[in-house]
Amino acid sequence: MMEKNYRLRHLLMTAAASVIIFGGIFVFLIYPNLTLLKITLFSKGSFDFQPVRQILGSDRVIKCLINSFTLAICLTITVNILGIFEILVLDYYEVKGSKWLNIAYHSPLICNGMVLVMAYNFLFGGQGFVTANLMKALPNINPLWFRGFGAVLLEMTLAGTSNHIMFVRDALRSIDYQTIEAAQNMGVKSRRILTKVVLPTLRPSIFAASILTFIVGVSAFATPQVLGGENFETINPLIHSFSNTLTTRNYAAILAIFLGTVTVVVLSISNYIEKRGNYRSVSKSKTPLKKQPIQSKGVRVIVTAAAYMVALMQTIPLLFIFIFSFMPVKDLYEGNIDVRNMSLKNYISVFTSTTGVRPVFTSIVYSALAAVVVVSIMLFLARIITKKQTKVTMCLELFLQIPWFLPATLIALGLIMSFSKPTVFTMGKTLTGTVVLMLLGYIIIRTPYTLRMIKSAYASIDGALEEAARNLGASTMKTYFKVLLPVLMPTIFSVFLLNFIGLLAEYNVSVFLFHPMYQPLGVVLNAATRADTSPDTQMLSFVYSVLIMIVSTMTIVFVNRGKKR
Amino acid sequence: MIKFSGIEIKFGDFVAISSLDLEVHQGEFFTFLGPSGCGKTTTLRSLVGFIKPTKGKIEVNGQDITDQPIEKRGIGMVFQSYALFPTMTVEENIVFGLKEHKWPQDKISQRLKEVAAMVNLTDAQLKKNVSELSGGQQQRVAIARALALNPKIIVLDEPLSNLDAKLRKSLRTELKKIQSISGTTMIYVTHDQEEALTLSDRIAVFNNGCVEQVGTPREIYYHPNTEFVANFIGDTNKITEEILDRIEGAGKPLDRDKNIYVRVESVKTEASLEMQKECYRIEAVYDSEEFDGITIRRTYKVGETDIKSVTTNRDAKLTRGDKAVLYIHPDDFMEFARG
Amino acid sequence: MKKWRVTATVLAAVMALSGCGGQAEETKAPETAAAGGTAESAGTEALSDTPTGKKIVVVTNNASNGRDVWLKENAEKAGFNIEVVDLGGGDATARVISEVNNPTTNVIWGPSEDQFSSMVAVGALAEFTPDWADDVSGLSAVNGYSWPYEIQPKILVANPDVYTAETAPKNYSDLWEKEEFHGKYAVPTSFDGNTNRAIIGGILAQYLDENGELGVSDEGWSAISAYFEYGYKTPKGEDDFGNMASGKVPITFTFASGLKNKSETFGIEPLVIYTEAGEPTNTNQVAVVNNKDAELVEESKRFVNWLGSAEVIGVYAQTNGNMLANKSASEYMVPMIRDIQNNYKPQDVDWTYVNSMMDEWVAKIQLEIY
Repeated sequence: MMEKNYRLRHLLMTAAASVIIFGGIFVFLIYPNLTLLKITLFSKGSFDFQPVRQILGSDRVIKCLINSFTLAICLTITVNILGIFEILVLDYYEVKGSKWLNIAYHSPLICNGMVLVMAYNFLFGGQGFVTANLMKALPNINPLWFRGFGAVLLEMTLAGTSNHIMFVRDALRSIDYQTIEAAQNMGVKSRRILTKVVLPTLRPSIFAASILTFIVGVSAFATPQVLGGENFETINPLIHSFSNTLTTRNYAAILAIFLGTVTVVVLSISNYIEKRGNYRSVSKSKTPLKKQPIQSKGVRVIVTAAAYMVALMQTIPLLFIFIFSFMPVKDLYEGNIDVRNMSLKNYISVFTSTTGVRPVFTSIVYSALAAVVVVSIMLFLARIITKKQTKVTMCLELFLQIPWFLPATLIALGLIMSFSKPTVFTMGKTLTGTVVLMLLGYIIIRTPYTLRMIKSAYASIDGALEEAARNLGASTMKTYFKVLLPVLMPTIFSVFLLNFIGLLAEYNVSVFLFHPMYQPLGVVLNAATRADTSPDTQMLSFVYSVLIMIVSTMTIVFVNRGKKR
Repeated sequence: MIKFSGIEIKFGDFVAISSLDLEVHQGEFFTFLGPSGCGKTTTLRSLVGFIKPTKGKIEVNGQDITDQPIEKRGIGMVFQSYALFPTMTVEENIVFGLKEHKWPQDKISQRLKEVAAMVNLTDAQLKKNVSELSGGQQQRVAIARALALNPKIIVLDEPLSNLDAKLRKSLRTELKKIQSISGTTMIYVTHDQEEALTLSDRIAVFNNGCVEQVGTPREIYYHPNTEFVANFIGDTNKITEEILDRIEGAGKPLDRDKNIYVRVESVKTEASLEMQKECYRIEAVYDSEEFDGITIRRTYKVGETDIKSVTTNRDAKLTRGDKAVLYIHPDDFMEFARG
Repeated sequence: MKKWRVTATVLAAVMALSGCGGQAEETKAPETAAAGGTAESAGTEALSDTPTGKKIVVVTNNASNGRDVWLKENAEKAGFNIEVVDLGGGDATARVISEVNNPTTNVIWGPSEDQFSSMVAVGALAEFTPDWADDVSGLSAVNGYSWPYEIQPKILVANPDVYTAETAPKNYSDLWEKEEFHGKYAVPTSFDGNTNRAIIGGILAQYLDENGELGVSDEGWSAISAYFEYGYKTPKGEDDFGNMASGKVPITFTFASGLKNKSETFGIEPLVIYTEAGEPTNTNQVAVVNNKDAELVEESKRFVNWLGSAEVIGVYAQTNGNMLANKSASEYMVPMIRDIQNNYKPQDVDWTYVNSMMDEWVAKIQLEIY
């Protein structure tokens, strides 16, 4: 009797919960995207093959695709090299002043995207400050020296180490020092210890970071547009531009699906490789990592110099964004930094505009809410996906990854169309034109990333923990909240942080979904850089960026404190 | 007390356990012994509830618990990886189960003191975070945590496998002591025969998802039912064709159609004249020795075959190539039909 | 304890967001009662002149450079309560169209006539004839919904130190046909802005051919290919006008109302080139977004009446250098713009047809030519 009751109750609960949850997830996170794909691809009732032919026949598209994938592959390599170098300098080797380096290496989290790229361009571009000074010394230099594949790769590498600083670093810190001591004891040279003991232990997290980097590379947008030049165009700006005009949206959708398919294939192959070489830590009593001295003096000098070099390269553009925010536009375009011309004019323009600093607060609230909600939902979904690997959960996972490739414009349009009429799921309310819609959009665009990170966090938990709690009499729920969740907390904090920062200046989804009374930062920032605005308005984007940097820095400090507890 | 009847456990198409029947008595220290992958941990996990058998029934004190939820079974478990909750202190780990069972605060503190004393954890250690403890200390916490709820049954899944030899031995003794004080029924999983022999009241030897033999350590050691048990427990020499060709016996010749084994301690290098008459003898050549303090294990060659002998006699100084005669008493042969 | 505090904060934030969102709609109830007869007059021609002060959302691409503050302040002086939302023409259009069932905006000011016609097509706008309709007649096809306030020719400009009226190109085709201009002129680098699309349309419109691909002759396609091939694709981070001013790429194009501000920023008085075929010209317009709330629509109409009136739009043009549609406001225009208005000739093009083809043309250019 008792047993039957348990089973029945369990069954009923599961059934009810899954209907509500999966229904909700489908309606809010997946359905809008599918609707949009259907509308764009089957606009005339049947699939139109003309765009496919036209796309495949376009040399430009093919070249862009090749460039995008080349960039993704190279970026994965370079970001890993730089990211691993950084975390080794911070936590593995004894390098003087690692406190300062730690701050500097967090800069990709503080500022990213279009404004950072623009800062690079105003420094190293054809009329940039550095270029102008270089040309004084070496008049024969090509003013466009910082352009093309190399420049794009460099900028994206320097700006792409967030995941290493947030996640791979955590993995390095939790390495059992005894394994290193054991290797030392066996007489293994320190370099071999690094490659044979330390790095293999980091493999799962490096792998996760690589996948994310790969996707960043494939979908590169701002950097190739500014620094790529004519000879290095990538696919995403093209997709973006197609998605902006009504009749060419099917081109965008087709390209996005193609890009998504190829990436999914690449990811599946790498997933397979990852699974084959899976390892699990066997060590029971971990000794905290101790920093290793670099024995050879020459190497030490080189490593230290390189570490500071990287730190400068990552922070100087940020410093210049700050400086630019005080400059008049003419000086900026002429590559002329003159303290006498600097003023608070740009700041005054921002503060006295009709929106003022309200967008800062709007964005903080929206980003924080979306970051919390998406992490909560994905904690739940990733748990189901890792626990029960069925066809249904695999499909669910695949569908949730659509936003990785679907252009943000199309995601936004999907939401607007799906919720422009009252539905049962929205309790008879129309969501289009309300404050809720943008929140939904933010949640959707952060879904794939969050899912991926939380899934790998679950995978790294020793299954015995859960069993032990169950064995001690804790219910499934209590086991989860009392035992598993606390273990996941550092990852949750990190994912929250990256989601929050990633949404602060979001534009592509926001511009369609924001409520006019609540304009987010991304929209006002972009309004400043629009083609039909006057050049001096563009300077406001630097002011907004400075505000974003302040908010981001405060959040990082706050989150890192939370993590330590 | 615990009764497995007709248990079958499948993972997909793979049969991990096939038709297992086993009974464990109240207050017993019972060991599941076997090589890795033999199904001993699987059986244990089905008892605790982490795995549901595809067939069969598990009963505790006559009550069918096959479908009971894990948290209702009241069986304590010590994990191979200890599974201590890393975000909690030692104390919080130990009282976790008590809190889950809504014990009153005063009883919790009292029980904490009791179990901490049982496993020799100091007050200072209780306040520490689990990651600050050494491996042996962590193991004590894991045992204390399982003991805290005062379960009638505690299962231990290779609990000592991560510790060094010396610590293992001392914890082993303590474990036995705790078991006899608390009167708990313990089921212990190990692949280490020495551990099994020293700790257990009874042992079940597992192989390929089946139980090969259940018995007291002595029964299993001296009267193995199967060739596998004979080989797995203790140190044995196989009597090969080459040895059979050269062996000279007082009694009837050995049965060449069977597989014959002899324990290393039963291969003697010296025997009284009376014994010599009863024993089989083999001429062999001394090869090498291993000295472990109490005993010396010498390897001899019979043709190409190695034969080992363990003795406490350390006077003999042999050099490689010395001729020797080995004696084996007919009762010491263990014969199994060839399958 | 801490957990609860976090939860509470989050909840408060949700309520703040949703609560305020609701408020904007709820405030209407008491005012309806106060305004009395106004509600009944909805839909009729008679429109009371006094603003009710009901909050209206004005979406415009004319908000930068402090124009938002100017607009808000002056509107408030006139009795309006407005929220200015700065959106590009395309984004504003997309928003109005996509929100047709549940609009969040009330007045849309600034997109081109082409963009407005797509808004009209989905029924997003309110039918309306402003008081000043007669003053802007003849500038664009009358659709009964959106009305021009500004004429926006796209003009070629050159650095006066490099070219004189004689040496400058006489026509767009000179740019690619004459080697001396190769690499000396900026071409569009994106295809969603009005100006860029008008430039492309202006070129292709000279080669219309019913039998050609997408209605354009082969000659036209090779012309536009050559135009892009020999032009300078201004990368992001460079300014085409700045390049013109510095002499780096001495020829570029701009929308007329951008001329004053850009010239002041880069300290140059550019040479305006009047091409023989005429300048691609469209108008920028203003309209009221349809809404179930009749009062909102009325207040919006009052606002548009006010905004387009000679005194208001005239002062606006005086500061910002616009070429006005309102004939009775022409004395407000700055000399440079008035000069252009007197000298330029609108290119004779069937813009309705060109605009209907534009998306496909742009797709072809993006995929095969650019």
